[in-house]
Amino acid sequence: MAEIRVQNLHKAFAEFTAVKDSTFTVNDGEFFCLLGPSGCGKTTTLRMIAGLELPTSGEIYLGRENVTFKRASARDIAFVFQMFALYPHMTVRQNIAFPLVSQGMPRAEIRERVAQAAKTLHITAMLDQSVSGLTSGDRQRVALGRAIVRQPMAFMMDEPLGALDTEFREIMCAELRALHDRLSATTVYVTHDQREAMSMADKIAIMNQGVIEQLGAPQEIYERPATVFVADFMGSPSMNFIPTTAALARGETTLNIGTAKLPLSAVCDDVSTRSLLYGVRPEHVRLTDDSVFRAEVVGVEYLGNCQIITLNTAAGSTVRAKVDVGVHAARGDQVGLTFDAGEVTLFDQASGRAIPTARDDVPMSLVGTRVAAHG
Amino acid sequence: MSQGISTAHSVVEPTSGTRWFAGVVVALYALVTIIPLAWIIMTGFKTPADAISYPPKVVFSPSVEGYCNLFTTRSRQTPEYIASLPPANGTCEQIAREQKMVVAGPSNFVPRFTNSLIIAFGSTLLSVGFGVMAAYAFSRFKVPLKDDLLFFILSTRMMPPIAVAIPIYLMYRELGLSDTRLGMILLYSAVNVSLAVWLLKGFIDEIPREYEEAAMVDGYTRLQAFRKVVLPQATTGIVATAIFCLIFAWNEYAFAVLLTSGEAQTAPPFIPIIIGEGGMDWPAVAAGTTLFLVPILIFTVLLRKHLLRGITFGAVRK
Ligand SMILES: Nc1ncnc2c1ncn2[C@@H]1O[C@H](COP(=O)(O)OP(=O)(O)OP(=O)(O)O)[C@@H](O)[C@H]1O
Ligand SMILES: [Mg+2]
Repeated sequence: MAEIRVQNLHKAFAEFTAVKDSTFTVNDGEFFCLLGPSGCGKTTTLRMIAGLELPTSGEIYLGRENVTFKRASARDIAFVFQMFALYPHMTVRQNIAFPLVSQGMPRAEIRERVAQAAKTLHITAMLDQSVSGLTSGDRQRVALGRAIVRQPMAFMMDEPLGALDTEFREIMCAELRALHDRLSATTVYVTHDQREAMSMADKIAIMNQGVIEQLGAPQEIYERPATVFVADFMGSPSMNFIPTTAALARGETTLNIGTAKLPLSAVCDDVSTRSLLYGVRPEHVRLTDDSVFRAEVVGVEYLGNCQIITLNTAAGSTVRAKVDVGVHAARGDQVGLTFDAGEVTLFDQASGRAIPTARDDVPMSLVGTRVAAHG
Repeated sequence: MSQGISTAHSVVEPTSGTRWFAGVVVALYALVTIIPLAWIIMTGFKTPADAISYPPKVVFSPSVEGYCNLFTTRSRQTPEYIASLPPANGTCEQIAREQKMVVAGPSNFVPRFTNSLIIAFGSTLLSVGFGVMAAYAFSRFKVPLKDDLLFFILSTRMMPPIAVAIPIYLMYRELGLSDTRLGMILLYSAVNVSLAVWLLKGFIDEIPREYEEAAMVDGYTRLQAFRKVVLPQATTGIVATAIFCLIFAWNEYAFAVLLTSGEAQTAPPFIPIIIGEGGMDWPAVAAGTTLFLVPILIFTVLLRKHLLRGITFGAVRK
């Protein structure tokens, strides 16, 4: 196992730039997710690390070694493809043994290693079957088997669960993470599914149009999004953005929207007059009657364990609230909304970036304590 | 139900009436194509007299004279000389003696047939071999002017190859390739390779790149990945292409007449000119034709499984 360091990685296809100036480090044994919408350059990044694509500029280190222009076959990285890429003309056993055969490993050892991998993945019974008869879940396991049997320096996985149905995907998610914990294998995992990323990753990189927008632990990314894109992409339903134009002095803890004064963590620097977005997640919106920030209920979705209430504010923006099923709301109700300063992120609309506030000075590791203190 | 319509049959499956009609059409077509073939095979077992009798004989007493005449040359002898010979050994000798002849030696059929085998299989191997490599390159790599090159390759088939017979004849004479097996192999390969590239490119395009990429990250070079992953996946396409190439090279007549006369002559120009006493030896010609069909038949039957799948171009994926 080894750490992977990617520095100023850039990839252009003719005029189109797929990856822009990417820099990140995947620590030894870490489960790293590249998350982003379709076409944002995730696969391209992964393929460059694996050596299936050469970067236009930038460097890739595997452990201490610069592998930027090394052949894929010389990198000792395993790759799991979305469509599994199992060879239909070989049995399960031959598929799993295929990478070992290239190393010229003695037959007895190959048998041993294949048996070991098969046991880990519970596919021993199907070793001598042809791969064409397998269900997609079993194919997935065989593809994983072919990756782990090599005991490579790192694993690359490109949406390995994309071909599975929802129910099975959740099972495989858990299995994959358990497998990772057992092997403590450095893994780069590509997905466009935020739930997969949140549930599995130690660290997530959110990509948008070839750029890494934010890098951090799942909780950090969710609770302290660095950009409007990240805030909007993560969470379902996504974050509410209430637009306004204002200037803020350093240390200011409220923002005027209409007649209401909405709470903020103290801003770290003076903010000159500009368009701002007051961002708050639906689960942090509370419905109260005494608030002066008024809104009208325009829709209620009952989801069993919670309900999503859609509201139109007096200023004309739409806010969604995720509330307990016990809260009574009906279309046409006039309600007041309240927010907690600690749950609010303020964005500069022009740059799309979050405006630093006192909240960001609290290390993420202490956030849990803060929540506990509230509760 | 209210209109008394039977709902027992599936609406997407053909009804029994349609099936029956299709069966009749297929049977008729088969009959039309099989009659000449059957006639040839029958003629091979007729005597020369039966073969040219009018009205044609459908019922006749079979004879292997045609096959004997195909494989041997005979010379006419005086009855006294024949009477002085020891008893005939072998059917062919016997048949010859009845006509006051003796077998003088083997005919040229076997060497011509061997030439055909070597030239047809040799050129098929070459055109499929080069074709699959070129097709792989066209399919996977950024080849400069790719589309123009592919069009150019196809354009070599836009006129009948025989249209360039004279330049090729002159060229071959200069190069000493006239009437050589190598010359014929090269010629047929050159004609077939364009077809092979186009057919195989289609098949290789259908093989996901991920297969090779998986092999490459698993420690194989591109060439090894090509051999171990792409080639087995392309079997169907390779077989279908090989059959097309083989059929062309095996049946080619015009170039064979023009460029071969002795050493390298193939069976197609040889068979139709087997002359017996007093004209064409039709049973021998028919016997030669029958035998000429056999190799392609064997090849096609052996590879039928692949062919049936491969012939539905593009639909290679299961
Ligand atoms: N070989 C190529 N030639 C030209 N453009 C390419 C090539 N490969 C990828 N691209 C482009 O680069 C962009 C990023 O592609 P990439 O496959 O990395 O996206 P992705 O984030 O993996 O998306 P998805 O979730 O759809 O797989 C896409 O717009 C794609 O069209
Ligand atoms: Mg992708």
